[in-house]
Amino acid sequence: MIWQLALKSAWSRRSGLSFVVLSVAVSAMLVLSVFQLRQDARQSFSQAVSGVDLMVGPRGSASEFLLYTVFQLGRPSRNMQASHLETLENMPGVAWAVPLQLGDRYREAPVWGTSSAFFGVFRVQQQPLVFAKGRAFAKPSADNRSAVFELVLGASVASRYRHHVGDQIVLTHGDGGELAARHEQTPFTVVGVLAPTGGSIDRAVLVSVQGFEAMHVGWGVMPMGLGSGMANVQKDLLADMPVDALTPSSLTAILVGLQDRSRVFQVRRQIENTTTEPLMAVLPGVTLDELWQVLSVAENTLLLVGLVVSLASLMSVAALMLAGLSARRREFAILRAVGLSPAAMMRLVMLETAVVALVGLLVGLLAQQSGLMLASDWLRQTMGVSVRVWSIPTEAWMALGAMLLTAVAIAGIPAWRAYRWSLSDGLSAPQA
Amino acid sequence: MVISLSQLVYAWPGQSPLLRIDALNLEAGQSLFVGGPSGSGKSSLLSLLSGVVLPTAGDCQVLGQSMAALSPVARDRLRADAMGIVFQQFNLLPYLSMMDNVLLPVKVSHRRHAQSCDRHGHPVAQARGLFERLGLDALPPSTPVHQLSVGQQQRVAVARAFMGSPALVIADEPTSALDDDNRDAFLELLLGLANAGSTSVVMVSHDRRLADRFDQQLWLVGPRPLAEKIPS
Repeated sequence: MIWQLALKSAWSRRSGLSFVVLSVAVSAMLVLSVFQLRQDARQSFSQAVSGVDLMVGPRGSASEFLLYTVFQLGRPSRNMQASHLETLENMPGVAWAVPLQLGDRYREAPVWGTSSAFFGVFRVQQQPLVFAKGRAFAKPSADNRSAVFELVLGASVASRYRHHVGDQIVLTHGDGGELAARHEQTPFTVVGVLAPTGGSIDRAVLVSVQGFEAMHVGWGVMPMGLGSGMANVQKDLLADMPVDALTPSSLTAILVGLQDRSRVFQVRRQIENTTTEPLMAVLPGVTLDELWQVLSVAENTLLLVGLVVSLASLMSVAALMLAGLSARRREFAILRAVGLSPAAMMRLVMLETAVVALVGLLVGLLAQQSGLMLASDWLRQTMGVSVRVWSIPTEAWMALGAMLLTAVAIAGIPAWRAYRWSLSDGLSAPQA
Repeated sequence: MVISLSQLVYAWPGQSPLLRIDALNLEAGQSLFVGGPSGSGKSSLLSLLSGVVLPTAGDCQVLGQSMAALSPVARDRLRADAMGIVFQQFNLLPYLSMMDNVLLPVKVSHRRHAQSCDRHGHPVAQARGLFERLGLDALPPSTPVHQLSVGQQQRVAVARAFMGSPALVIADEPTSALDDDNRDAFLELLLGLANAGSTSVVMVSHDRRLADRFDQQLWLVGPRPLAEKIPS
């Protein structure tokens, strides 16, 4: 009875109430998005490198080292001797070790020099690398010289510069820029394009360490700016050089996978006790998580803003319901005349506010999730945040529940007003 | 006895008494006209009778029950079960159809639902009968009430008041929004229905010309002088 009346009454005022619903929906969207992006951004960040148990580099600041090697942010870290790669490969407990060499760029995109084994072991957010097109570069050998100049593109690089398998690409030396020297003599051929991962690898260009080395043959020996003279020297040098000689002398980092993850601290101690050069071994997930903690102030501020906005919108719900109430005094008087009690008027208003808030929250939830579904590709490619639809964190559900409870509590204000009015008006309410 | 008032005094809180009635008795099936200028306490009397307010002093009995002795919930219940109320205007819920407005009392009160079923088979059948009686049967029952004229709205309100055969129908200036012809026809219908169901009627009006059609008249004069009762 009360339900039917409440629904019919609310439906007759639907145009006004739809704004209340909208206001609740928008704040629910905001709160949900903040909670979910917080969760997903954190996860995307701390799992930007997964599948790698330790990242080894010259001793220094672990966070600086990771920011540079994983995201190519900040100052380049010092390189270390390439000979450590073999040492690490033979270290007990180590399953594999893969080199990483940074420094050059293709336009904006950093070049990662690594080995072909990299594609099998590197993971982003627990997901193995998948090729959208083509294949990994082959391991350069005497029989397969051309593999030296094979190159794989990250998803964003390929889509941004519209490159396809088979394209010829010239990389630039150092940090790039208009005036940077170009590796004109050593063009690479695209052999594969990776599928989007949400990680920094999407914005990277991958070549073999031999290819990385080949670009720099003769560089530093010959004076720069000799133009074609120097170029020819590099060509000649390369032509005479066996592939085996194209091994780098230094590396930016070595990625290590363990046979048994529980022995990670033992292996780390072993690596850091290397006597030839001071090294450090960093647990990427832990260190990235620590870095994220630094951002938690900004994150919490965002959350606070979201909660305050939703509180404000719930207050406006109460205000709108109160404003609409005076138009309903006549309705209350009629219902009182047929024998409904003031308490029933209170329930009527309470019920309506609760239903309006609930509908608003549901609309907000659905709109936010479908928005996320539509935006997920864009978020992954531009922000590197991979969001998952319906992966709403528990705390977001709790926030929604709190919003509903707050709405019902706030509904007490207009409900109490309705109660007082129907007592004082009795059957003689003014026609508003 | 449907209504029995004795030594009744009513005053708004902190004000001098607005209403004094020494004795008033209304038997089942009888009709009472309450007249007097504005501010003489006519509406307050209806609030007392319907149990929305309680007397400041004295006794107000409706259907043998002393209002002051009943809880607020019991008074609401009594109103739902035994009273039909017609206002001056704006009697209907705008979001319900004509039929749904009329069926409200039988939805609120089980007793009126049972009475309607006993006498007419089904509340909808009673509502149809009332519409016919009131000349509303040409309109589809699902008509939204805002499409009705003021006169039609008042007649729908009368149908609602008589729905489920209450013992008492209270009407507060029900004719003031109507023109003369409509007013007479309206009164005819109201009293006719009351007679047919032996329902008591209390009607408040400032229009003295209507008073003769009622069994009893009560003239209220306002705060100071005592109200006088003129037996017919």
